[in-house]
Amino acid sequence: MSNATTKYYPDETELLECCRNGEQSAFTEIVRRYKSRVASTISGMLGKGDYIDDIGQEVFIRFFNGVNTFRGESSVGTYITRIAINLSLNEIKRRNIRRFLSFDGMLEEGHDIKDESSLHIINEKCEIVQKSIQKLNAKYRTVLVLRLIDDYSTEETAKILDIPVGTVLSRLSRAQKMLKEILEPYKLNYD
Amino acid sequence: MIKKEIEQLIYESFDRSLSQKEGLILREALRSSKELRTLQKQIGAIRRTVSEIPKSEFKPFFETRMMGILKNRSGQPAGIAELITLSFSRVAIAASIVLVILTTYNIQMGTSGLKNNLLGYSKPNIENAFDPTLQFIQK
Repeated sequence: MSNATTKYYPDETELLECCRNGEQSAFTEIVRRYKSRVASTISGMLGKGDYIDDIGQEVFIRFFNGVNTFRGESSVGTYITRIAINLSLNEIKRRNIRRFLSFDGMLEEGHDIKDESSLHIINEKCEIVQKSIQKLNAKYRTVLVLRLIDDYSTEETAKILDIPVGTVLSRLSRAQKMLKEILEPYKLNYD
Repeated sequence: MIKKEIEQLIYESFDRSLSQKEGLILREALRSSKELRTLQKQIGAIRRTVSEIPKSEFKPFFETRMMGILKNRSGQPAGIAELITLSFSRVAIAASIVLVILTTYNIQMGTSGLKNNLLGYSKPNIENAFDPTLQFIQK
């Protein structure tokens, strides 16, 4: 990777080309531009924790490794978000396997938001909602995070996930219905 | 339109623009049902709360750390362990699945004790008991 001074890249094509040529400043610019979006996607999918940095690093490493094969059919942002989603889904699978093998799930149940005693600890509405999002099935969680947390349009969400817009809409409806059911016992005051 | 379809329209109205006909149906349904109005309000509120969840950020100096990692990795060939893992992970998974299937099959089919069934040993019959070559095989 060649060193370069800080450079301004107004055009994404040029930025991508410089990345392909191994310009360090172009990579720094990519990380700078998209790090907030990546952090938001990962934390939306997995909840807050120290692992966000590790997965975030892996996202940019994957981008770096695949930049020469990236054909530019989608924007860099869409491509990076797709990597972040895929790595988050892998992490969810890993967690499910770990829970299955080591009874971690039983331990986590101790902090379950259904536990009345834990409610006074997690008294923030946003935290309850965030924990509830983690309870959604991965495919519903993904559309919810992209649409409502990352603020992508339904079309962009469809593009990132490579699914039809109609599927995004039906998954979104389902996700909101499930979230509403999960949140029902808390009788949250939304006003 | 049945209630379920109206509810679906309420959910979708937040993410797409409804057609004139759909809009009319929804407005009419909302006007006449308090339950549907409450649902619309609830969904709107949940969506607002979800979008208000504070955004996470990486720890400070993420770019610097990232560039350090990328610098170290660029030009370096993948380690042997990494290559082996990449090449054989699928084979290992397939072999594990086959092993589980065979073990399950042996347990299901056998009648001569769990250990023997797991290893696929068959129950010795009278011919084997008196077979003079068997002792060499067992050794």
